[in-house]
Amino acid sequence: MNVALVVAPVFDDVTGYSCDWSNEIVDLLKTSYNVFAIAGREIGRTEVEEALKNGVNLYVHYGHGSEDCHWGSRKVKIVDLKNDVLLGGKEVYCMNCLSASKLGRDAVEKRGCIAYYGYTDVFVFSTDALKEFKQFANAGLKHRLLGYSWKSTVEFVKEFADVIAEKLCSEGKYIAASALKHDASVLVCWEQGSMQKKKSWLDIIKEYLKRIFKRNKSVCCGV
Amino acid sequence: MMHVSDNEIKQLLIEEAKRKPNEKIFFGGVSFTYGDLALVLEGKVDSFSGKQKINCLNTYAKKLIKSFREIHARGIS
Repeated sequence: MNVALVVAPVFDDVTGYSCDWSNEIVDLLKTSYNVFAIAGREIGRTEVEEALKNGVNLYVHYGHGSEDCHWGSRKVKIVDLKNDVLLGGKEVYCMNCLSASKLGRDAVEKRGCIAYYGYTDVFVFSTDALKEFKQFANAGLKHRLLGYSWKSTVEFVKEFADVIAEKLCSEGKYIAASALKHDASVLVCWEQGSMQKKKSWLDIIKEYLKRIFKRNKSVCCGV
Repeated sequence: MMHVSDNEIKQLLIEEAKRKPNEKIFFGGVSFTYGDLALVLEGKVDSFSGKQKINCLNTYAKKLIKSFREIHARGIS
């Protein structure tokens, strides 16, 4: 049986909510995975590293993230650019801020991570629509567990966000609707082979010079 | 579709924020009450403590307005 590791630390209000949302995911995963959950408290780097080494196929993180890491507590980075080699050969599902922007890309581009589902900007939510934000946060994994591809999953969740936003607007919850729409707009799933490589400035200058060189050559040759 | 200006969107968000000032909005690890949000959207920054927090909320408020514009563009109002 496949193994899923769910990591959902608690160390402030936000992580209290995100850990609560992850409980539904743990229950759902139990139908098709051996689930190992580390949740409800501050979590250390070593325990996550050890857990990731134990044949994990799917790694799930609910909590705080930054561009380059997942947080286990206010001070401890449990996964970052130094140990993301541990994400190699795994699928990753995140409900955290920003981590898809750098860590996710790095894990897929350089470390052999199969797929990285997450957000490239802050995840925004409000207390007047907690049920809806939970639905949105969990929708991707629920859809994926039905057997759909990651690409289809992201498309589905973005459309689902529009449906929820419409419902929220009809209830006069414009702020929550706007927040949810923002979250959907920064949702991505990086996958092996489907990533557009980020161009460095050097690459851009090289391409530009090549184009000029080609054009000049054509003019010289009278083509 | 009827054009909606940023000011009209702002007004809509301010009215909602004022109706329920104690609700909270979380931008990652930073939280604000809807009351705070209303103050910043109204430009009443003097009533708000912490320059850094004002800048932060200003940035996020712009994101909310941009997102609401996208919702409106889909025909949801």
